[in-house]
Amino acid sequence: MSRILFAVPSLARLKGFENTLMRLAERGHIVRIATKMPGDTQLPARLSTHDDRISVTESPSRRSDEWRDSIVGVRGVRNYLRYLAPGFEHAEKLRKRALLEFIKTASDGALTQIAATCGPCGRELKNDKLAHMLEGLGQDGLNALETLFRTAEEDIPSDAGFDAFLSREQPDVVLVAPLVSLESGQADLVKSARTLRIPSALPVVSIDSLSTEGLVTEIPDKIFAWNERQAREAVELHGVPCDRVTITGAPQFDAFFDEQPARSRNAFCMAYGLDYRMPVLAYVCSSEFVAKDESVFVGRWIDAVRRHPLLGECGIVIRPHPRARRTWDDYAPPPRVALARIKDRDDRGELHDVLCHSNAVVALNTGAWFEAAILGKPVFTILAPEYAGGQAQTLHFHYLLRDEGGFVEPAASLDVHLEQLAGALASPPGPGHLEQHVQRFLRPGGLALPASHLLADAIESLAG
Amino acid sequence: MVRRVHARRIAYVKLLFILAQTSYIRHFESVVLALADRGHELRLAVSREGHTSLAPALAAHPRISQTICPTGRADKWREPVETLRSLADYVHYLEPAFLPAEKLRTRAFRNLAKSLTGHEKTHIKLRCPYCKERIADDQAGKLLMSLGDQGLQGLRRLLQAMEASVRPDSAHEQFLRAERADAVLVTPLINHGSGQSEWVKAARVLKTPVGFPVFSWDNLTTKGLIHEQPDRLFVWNEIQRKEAADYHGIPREHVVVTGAPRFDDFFSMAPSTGRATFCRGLGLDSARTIITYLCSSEFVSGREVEFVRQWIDEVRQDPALEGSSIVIRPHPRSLEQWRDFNPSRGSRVAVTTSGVMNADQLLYDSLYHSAAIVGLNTSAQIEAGILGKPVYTMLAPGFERGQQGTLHFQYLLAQNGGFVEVADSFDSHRSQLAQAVAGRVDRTRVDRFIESFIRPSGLHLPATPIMADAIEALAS
Repeated sequence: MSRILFAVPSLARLKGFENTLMRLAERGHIVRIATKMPGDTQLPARLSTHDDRISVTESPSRRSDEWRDSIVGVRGVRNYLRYLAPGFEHAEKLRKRALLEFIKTASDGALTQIAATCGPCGRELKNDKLAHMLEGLGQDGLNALETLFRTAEEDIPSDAGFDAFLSREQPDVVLVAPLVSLESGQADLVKSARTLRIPSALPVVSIDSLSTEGLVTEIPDKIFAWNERQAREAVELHGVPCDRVTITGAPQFDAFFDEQPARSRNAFCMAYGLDYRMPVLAYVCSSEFVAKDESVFVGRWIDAVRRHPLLGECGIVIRPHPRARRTWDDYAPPPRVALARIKDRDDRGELHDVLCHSNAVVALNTGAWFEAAILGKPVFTILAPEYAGGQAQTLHFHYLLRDEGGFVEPAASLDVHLEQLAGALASPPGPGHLEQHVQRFLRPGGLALPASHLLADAIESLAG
Repeated sequence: MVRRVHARRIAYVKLLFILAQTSYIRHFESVVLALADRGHELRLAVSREGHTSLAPALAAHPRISQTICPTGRADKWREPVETLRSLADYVHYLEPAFLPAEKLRTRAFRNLAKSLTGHEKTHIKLRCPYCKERIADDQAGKLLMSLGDQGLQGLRRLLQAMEASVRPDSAHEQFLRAERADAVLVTPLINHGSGQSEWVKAARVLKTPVGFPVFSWDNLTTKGLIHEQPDRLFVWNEIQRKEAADYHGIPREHVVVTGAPRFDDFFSMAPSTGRATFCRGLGLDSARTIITYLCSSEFVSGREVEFVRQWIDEVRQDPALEGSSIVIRPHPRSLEQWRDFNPSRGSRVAVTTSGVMNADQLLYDSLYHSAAIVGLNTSAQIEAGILGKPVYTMLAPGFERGQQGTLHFQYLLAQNGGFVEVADSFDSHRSQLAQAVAGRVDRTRVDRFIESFIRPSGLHLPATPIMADAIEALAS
């Protein structure tokens, strides 16, 4: 029996790891969930059935020593510099986000922007326009800066507060997720684990976690990656030694693999006021970071669909992103269009039913593509120039596209997209047509083998 | 040469004096000799690159020796630490007090550029994303000011914290262990991106007292930061004590005001010849008054020859000065630009060239026989003050960055309590010089300033034994 400490910023971020934690508990291990949010002690319902072995504790949120305020500077600079490295040349939106997060965190919220004036032309140089000029240092100069801040990070000792926390908890293994956020202080937990010789690991949280967020500034003993692609990202983008990466698959989807539709297609269509005899197209919205004000784009898309001779009569279900659901509060769906119901930001809505009863799924760039693929639904996207920052400028978007070995069918224009949709409705692909992709991305250990089992095995093995 | 045998009985100690180059000992030669004469062992440690032979008086002393010491760290910090310190040095020049110091800031930025590019470039050119124009050097560096006061403070704190987390280098530690010195002295310590901080770090770990004798009057305001605080600073005067606190965060109690021993020899010099012989040697008429022009370093004034020609022409326009002889003293390190300067016979202009940096007899003679001294911004103005001479400067167009753009320039000005009269035009400059050659000079003010600036314990008390005492105290 081992003591497993799982550090997350809040209990809500446990989603995706519940199966793994329950499995560990069922195997007799003690699981302590450490959050930095005071009072955040209410175990999610599924885990509360194992409350004899799973419990919550509060971890320090930041260092208590002289590095308390400055550490974020070391890490924030590196987070920004990574987006000036080869491979991220076009990742303007990610670079901007890294900068703004750094400015805000480093100033404790006092600063929200930086600005200067160009001497020669007098234009205002603001935020990334300003910081991006660092490119003028050349790759050698940028490398020198990166080396400076990395070397400093290596020599910053662990913090007594985090050391004391781990000493009290006495875990056999420390899991930290997502570890790529600037403000979480999670890197310090990994530092302390190393000091105390406690094995540590990062179970990767999402498909884009290693390529769109911050750096893993403190490399744990193990990275539990979803697939080969993520393993490569860990090595190439974060400098993780190959032997520290274990591929477990994506436990986040195990529940979905097991999920069954809550109702029949007829009942679903009736509930949403759609004609069950007509094909249903699902439009799954992306996060606000990928597509702000997506309703405008969705409106254009609906209009285009309606004008198409073969698609015009289709039912349409729009599934808002749970964290942007409020932006749809005043939306009045036109005829034969329904809005999927979402109760709160952590509600998955009726994602399974929406996808299951649809004939094709459309989205700009969202993790729900994977759920669609699990259900064998053909998946489409439109390369929208106004959302290039959340699509083409991210790394993971590309490797999900069919022409780059993925399963999402991209279209450079709405016209092409509509023809693709019409083709999919006219000749529906077989139910297993996406299996190899699902296996490659989510369950490299075998389609029938839940990733949460493999992750639980890997955690046990690390705990010794 | 000031050499005193100390009468007090103290235990003899071994003192390790670490220098970036052997030549840096010239400002402390009298102190080293005094300490050796008192019976202490003096070991001068210089990097292989900076190593040259010792001055004869030092080399001949049985208790003074020179050795080679490591330079640069041997570990993973070897290159990053230079970047760290160069960056901190540059950010230091973004402090409000240094905002007018564009030239100093540019120098700091170029040093940073060197460090960032593996010593391949001294310029960094950024491009405006809108107009695509180049934004280079200090203009590029000043973009950091977009962080605002709070952001810059945060950056300074971050860089300090990073420096503090850098552990001492084992090669430096080993060297100090092997030397077994009772105290370590390090100078100049604050050259941009200086690796000499490693000695302070290592000495502190070994609990060996470490002192920093400040090399010159401008060092605490024109160079880099003190990245690692020594146990003691030995400074010239109260101004430097304040600079140490204000710009380098050194607590007052860690600073000892000793005066400037480098001038002790100059104080005890005498003219080597009579006026007639001096003038004859330079082809000048001994009956005429002499105005000496002291050239500044290339950093302050770049190429000064053309300005000096203009200055001569301007001075000659005043009937009271027209007949005066003029002696030009090129800066000892900028002799090359004067190679083709050949004053014509009868121009009453002479050039005295000397490569001597300290206690230069030719300088002494020139100053001694002069009625007035002129210079843009140079240490030799202080030597002129030692001789009680009236000293003048002009705010010369084109040289602002080497004059008003430095903090130390202000200290010498009469308007700030100093002794150098400043003029903002040739008209007023001529008028000031005319007063001087007419003998209307207030020597008391000059003496008062010289005392406060280089011999704060008393104009007639040499700084050498005071600094020697302070070093002994550090070692005991």
